[in-house]
Amino acid sequence: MIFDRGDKVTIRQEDGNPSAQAVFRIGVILVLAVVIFVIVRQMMIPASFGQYGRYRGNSISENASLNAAYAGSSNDCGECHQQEFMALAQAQHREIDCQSCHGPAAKHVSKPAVTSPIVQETAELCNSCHRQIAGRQDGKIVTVRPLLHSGGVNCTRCHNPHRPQLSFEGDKS
Amino acid sequence: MKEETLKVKTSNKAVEEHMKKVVPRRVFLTTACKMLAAGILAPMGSLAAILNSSFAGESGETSDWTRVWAGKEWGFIVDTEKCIGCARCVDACKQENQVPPDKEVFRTWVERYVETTQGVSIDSPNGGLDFEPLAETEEKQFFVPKLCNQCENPPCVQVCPVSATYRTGDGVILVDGKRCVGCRYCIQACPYGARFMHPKTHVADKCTWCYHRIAKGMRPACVTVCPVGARKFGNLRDLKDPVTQIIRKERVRGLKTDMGTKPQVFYLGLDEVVV
Ligand code: HEC
Ligand code: HEC
Ligand code: HEC
Ligand code: HEC
Repeated sequence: MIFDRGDKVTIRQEDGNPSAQAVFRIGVILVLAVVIFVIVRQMMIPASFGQYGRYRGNSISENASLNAAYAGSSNDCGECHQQEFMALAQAQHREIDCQSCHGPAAKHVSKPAVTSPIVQETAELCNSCHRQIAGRQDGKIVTVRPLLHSGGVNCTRCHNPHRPQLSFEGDKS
Repeated sequence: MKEETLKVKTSNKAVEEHMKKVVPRRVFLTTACKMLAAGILAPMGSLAAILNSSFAGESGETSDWTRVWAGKEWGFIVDTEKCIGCARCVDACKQENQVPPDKEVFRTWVERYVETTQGVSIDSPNGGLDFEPLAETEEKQFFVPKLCNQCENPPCVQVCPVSATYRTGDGVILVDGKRCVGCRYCIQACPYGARFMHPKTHVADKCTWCYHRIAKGMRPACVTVCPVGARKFGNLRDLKDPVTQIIRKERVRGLKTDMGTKPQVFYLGLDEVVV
């Protein structure tokens, strides 16, 4: 606004003490802000937060209660699959868990009739451990070149996966 | 309301001075400052009160984890001398923890180091599930399985803005999927690249040493399926535990220990080129 000499200017003035009113208004706003802050904070923070540390305590149980897809170990299988279990225990594959080849079987253990584990007869299964690749030296595991060894046909044609060494018994049995 | 009329005689200054009188600035400012101070202090007081109540009141109703954790501190050993790179662990981990089959996301993966005269080549195709034979060389070739190191000093936990990740009393870093907002800070902060954005749930995801399994007394899925015993899992507080024995007696090393993260995965036979 530009005023010139001789202009008439009108100034309005509030009744009462203006500063007190302004202070009152700001006070009300601040109190409201505090109340809203407290309510919102109460709503945002989960009940179990801080129970064990700076996190939601219930999250531990949520993580820990997920279902296991893999059963604990081969011992869970031995009871029902005694033949395979005994064969494996005596052969070169003894250190391998059943589920290493048969996949997750926790559901199968509790309900054998409902779900069956994978039975993978392919050369792919044996090759994942036995194929000769860079980094997999003979000192760690006996390796083969599938094409040279068997023409790449299914290894289970000649080897029993639970008792793989042929000279052991002369034949797949 | 009262109206006041005045004539501007010389300059605008007269008007300004009059305005100053109408709103006493000093009074206004001092009161405003007092109110501001009160406004800041009041919520802080209430905050402290609430913090106290919510920290104290809650415990009791859920299972008492402090009792479960007592005397436990999990540790993990990876024996790179034994690993044959079969990636059964990678496969088992994905199935156990419902990690999508995408070729970018893994909770654990296997790297292959091939040292040639040209230098070191590192590959991990599909997390180690699709290794190619490569040409034979006479130089060093070996596999290094990787997973979350469950650091004692975890950078991922430090940077999380919503406290959606934490270290449990028995030494495992977990993600609170309900609180995570997917900001990816933790993924950036992890020096081991152990975290990723879950393509389905869109929250940060990582290896938990199969916390749901160890809570039930089982070993992690990768340890269960390893055919050569290259992965070992045990309780570091138990002096008789084979894992503790190995750490006490053998030469073990963690990854990137110079970063001060104190990794809890200990490697046997680790070459110096491994990063
Ligand atoms: C409670 C007894 C029981 C337990 C424990 C058990 N199984 Fe079985 N399993 C069975 C029965 C019964 C069958 C036959 C089901 C069928 O033929 O459909 C079977 C079949 C199988 C088959 C063959 C499936 C097929 O398609 O031919 C495999 C492989 C197998 N089980 C693996 C396992 C493994 C691995 C475990 C341990 C993790 C295990 N089982 C634990 C009872 C059991
Ligand atoms: C090295 C991998 C491997 C391991 C370890 C292994 N299996 Fe097998 N299993 C196979 C393969 C491959 C077949 C299919 C064999 C065939 O068709 O000749 C099979 C077949 C089976 C069958 C079905 C038999 C049939 O005639 O249909 C059962 C049951 C079985 N396995 C149980 C077990 C149990 C129990 C264990 C653990 C004690 C175990 N397996 C460990 C690879 C394995
Ligand atoms: C999960 C990895 C794994 C799988 C899958 C696997 N093996 Fe093995 N296999 C081993 C290990 C480990 C040994 C023990 C090697 C050793 O002690 O040197 C072994 C030993 C053997 C041996 C004895 C070698 C010797 O002369 O000592 C034969 C034969 C064999 N496996 C064949 C097979 C066949 C056939 C299959 C597919 C059905 C198969 N393996 C699947 C890991 C595996
Ligand atoms: C045509 C039958 C046949 C087929 C198919 C076959 N093998 Fe063999 N395999 C043999 C014979 C024979 C031996 C030597 C006997 C022995 O040492 O036990 C052998 C030995 C092995 C050995 C031990 C090698 C060593 O140096 O001691 C491994 C490992 C092996 N086979 C893995 C495989 C794999 C993996 C496949 C599938 C890609 C496979 N075999 C398919 C017949 C076969």
